[in-house]
Amino acid sequence: MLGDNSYVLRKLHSLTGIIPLGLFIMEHFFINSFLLQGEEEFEGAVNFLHRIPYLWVLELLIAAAFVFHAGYGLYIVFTGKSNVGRYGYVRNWLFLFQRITAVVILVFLIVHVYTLRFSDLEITYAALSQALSSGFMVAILTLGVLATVFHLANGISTFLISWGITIGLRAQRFFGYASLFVFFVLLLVGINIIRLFG
Amino acid sequence: MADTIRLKIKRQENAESQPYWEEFDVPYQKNMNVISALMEIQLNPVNAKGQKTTPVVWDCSCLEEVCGACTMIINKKARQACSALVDQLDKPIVLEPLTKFPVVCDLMVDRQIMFEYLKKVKAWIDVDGYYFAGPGPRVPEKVRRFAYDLSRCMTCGCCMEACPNVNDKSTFMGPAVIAQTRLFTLHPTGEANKEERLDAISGKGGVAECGNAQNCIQVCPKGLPLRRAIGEMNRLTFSHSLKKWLKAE
Ligand code: HEM
Ligand code: SF4
Ligand code: SF4
Ligand code: FES
Repeated sequence: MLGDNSYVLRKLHSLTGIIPLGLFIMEHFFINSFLLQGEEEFEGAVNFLHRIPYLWVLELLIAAAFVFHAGYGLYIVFTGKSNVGRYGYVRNWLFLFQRITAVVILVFLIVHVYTLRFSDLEITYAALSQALSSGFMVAILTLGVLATVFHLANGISTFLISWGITIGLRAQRFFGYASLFVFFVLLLVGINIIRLFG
Repeated sequence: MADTIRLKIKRQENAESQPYWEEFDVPYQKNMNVISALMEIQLNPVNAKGQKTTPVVWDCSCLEEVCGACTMIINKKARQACSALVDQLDKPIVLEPLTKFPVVCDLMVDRQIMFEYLKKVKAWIDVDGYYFAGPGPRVPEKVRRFAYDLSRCMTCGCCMEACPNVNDKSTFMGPAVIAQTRLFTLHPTGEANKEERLDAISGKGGVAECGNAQNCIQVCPKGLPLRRAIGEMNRLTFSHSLKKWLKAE
């Protein structure tokens, strides 16, 4: 049945970038933004998340999708050869940034998940604020947010092309700008979270 | 205007040997193109240092930008030497062979792989019998116009040269063959082989391996509607693959 499955793998890679990874990032930013309402609200939101039924299934799905997207993504990164020096068009730069941010995200997320999820750190505002407030941590988080937000925003517009949804110049350009908008919105939300923890 | 033109050429004796640079000063003539500059070297194969050398090898045929044979890298951009006018180029003019195809000698490369790709997707219309079957089906004008634009591809390889996903580490066949698959799936008589073509272009090296850098759209000298071709092939391969999976016994 799966003779040459490269097509399925490509499509799965593209899809996992949005569902569940893109959705997860949005959820992650959303929950963290409860900090705007105060520490109790934030801890309440975190507690709510922890009480979701079948949470482990969701976590497993997201983790599996991430491993696949990152693994196959690295293969894609290594089979590309950027040439922005000779062909410095916007989409070509975006193509390069998509790959650079992919590698940055990979390194960042390993550190991020390891320090916050698989440590004995209690997820309370006080503990997090202490763990995240060093200048070094703020710099790492900012870089991580920048890379992730770019990768997701640009990924939305390339996703639409890859699935044959946006075909013409006008639609591709429209969603290019829409991605730019998503980029700035998510960036502001992300930076704000870092600021609130700091 | 200077009476000689400086050419800086990346040369290579054969597929295995190491490339090296050699410079030439050729007499300037009004309206000359890169091909006529190369002909001057052929006429008098002496490099800029005054040493006698072998004439530079290149490929060409139509001399009117329709065959694609003379494609090379001219001042860092892949384009046709016959339509590259010396007056419009920065000097010295730097010539290199295409990098995504094996070099035969100097500026001449072997683009056979492009034809192998075209064979994979059956980029032709099979004869529908050896008797007269009457006129073929009519094609609406809108479709005809799109098909005509796609048919102008001269397999020059500029798009593959510019594509970051076409290289020796990847299996991606590149934009030209995607456009030709679109062309032949558009053709009413080509319809008969539509499934085979879609199978080929959704297989290894097919359209799914495009990374949306869109350099191809920028560089195609024939202005092929590559954006639309790739977009529509993305759509067609998806519905084809889905249908095929749902129908398979
Ligand atoms: C180690 C981490 C990651 C790696 C190595 C990676 C790699 C890649 C690469 C190379 C592409 C381009 C694929 C193409 O255009 O053919 C891509 C696309 C994409 N990635 Fe990632 N990625 C990673 C993490 C993420 C994360 C965390 C998200 C979600 C926020 C994400 C979302 C996307 C999206 C939406 C696309 C667009 C898919 C498309 O063009 O069809 N990626 N990724
Ligand atoms: S759009 Fe696709 S085919 Fe065209 S240059 Fe980019 S990666 Fe290559
Ligand atoms: S699509 Fe354009 S650039 Fe590519 S081979 Fe055909 S004519 Fe050349
Ligand atoms: S010689 Fe045919 S395109 Fe230049």
